[in-house]
Amino acid sequence: LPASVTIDFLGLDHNDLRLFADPFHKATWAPAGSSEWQEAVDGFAKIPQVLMRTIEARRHEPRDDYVSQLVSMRIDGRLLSDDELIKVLVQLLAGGIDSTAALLSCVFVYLDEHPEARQPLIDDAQLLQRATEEFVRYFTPIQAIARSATEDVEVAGERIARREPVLLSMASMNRDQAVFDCPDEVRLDRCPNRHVGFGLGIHRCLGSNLARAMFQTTLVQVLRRVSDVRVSGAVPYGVRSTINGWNTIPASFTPGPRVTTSSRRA
Amino acid sequence: MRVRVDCSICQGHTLCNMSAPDIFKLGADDGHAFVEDEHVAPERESEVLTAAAGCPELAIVIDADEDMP
Repeated sequence: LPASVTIDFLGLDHNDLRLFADPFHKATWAPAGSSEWQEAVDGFAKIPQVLMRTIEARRHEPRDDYVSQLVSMRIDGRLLSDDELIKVLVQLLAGGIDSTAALLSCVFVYLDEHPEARQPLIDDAQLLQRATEEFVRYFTPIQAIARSATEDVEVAGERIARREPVLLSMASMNRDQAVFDCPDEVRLDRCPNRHVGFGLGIHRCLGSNLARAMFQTTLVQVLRRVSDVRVSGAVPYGVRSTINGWNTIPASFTPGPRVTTSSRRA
Repeated sequence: MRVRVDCSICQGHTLCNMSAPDIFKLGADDGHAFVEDEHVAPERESEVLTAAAGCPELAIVIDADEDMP
């Protein structure tokens, strides 16, 4: 679902959904050198030319979508180059496709272990909002992010030279005892909850409010529809991943009544 | 006009800082926005209004009636 919403929002072609989503999903868990890893690498190589089709199309005929905005926007008076457009779009795809799905997967497994939390999350909108922040803090779907130092600095006695790469662990920051009371506990109503699950500064997550909306809507709809869902044999992402999620979550449930919406997509 | 950032609502998107970096500053620790001098000069009001309209959390509080002392 998050992949589908992301592709809709950007204005890309729904027929290309698997072509965009598969490499990102595989890259999060496949060990380097494995056949799935090779499939992800080959898949990434195809993405720029597919994006170029949409970029060209929107240049000729803009629509109400993100690609149309990007191709017409100016930075310091100039349009973005093809290369820059592709980099921005790939970054947005990467952010949208896997992270919210990873959070949902963590929370479904959590709610299998804590079934008593399900009904309160359906009934209490404020609890759902606070629990969303707590789940982002506790599970930290994007565990760490790589950056380069822009200047020589010293952090906690450690010297970091300009241009040196650093790996920032949001997972660690989100368990900081100086900030959070009992950080290793899930407290659904934790408030205040100033976690760094969406990153910090000018590169902070662009889609955090979209992610919250997708997460909350999906969670409540699933819990309402399949109240007796049970998970068994879930497979987590491998240890090399900087994304905290589950690869597959086999589940069994009794189907509830079909729910339809007015704008259902085929 | 006076302006402040409600720090209980601010999520640190930093968009206000991009609109008017000298008015909306970012905390060194966690990159959340704050206003050092809440009095806004008349010629800067439009920038502050742009920043407020662009805040995804609506965390920028403006008191339009209060003029500079």
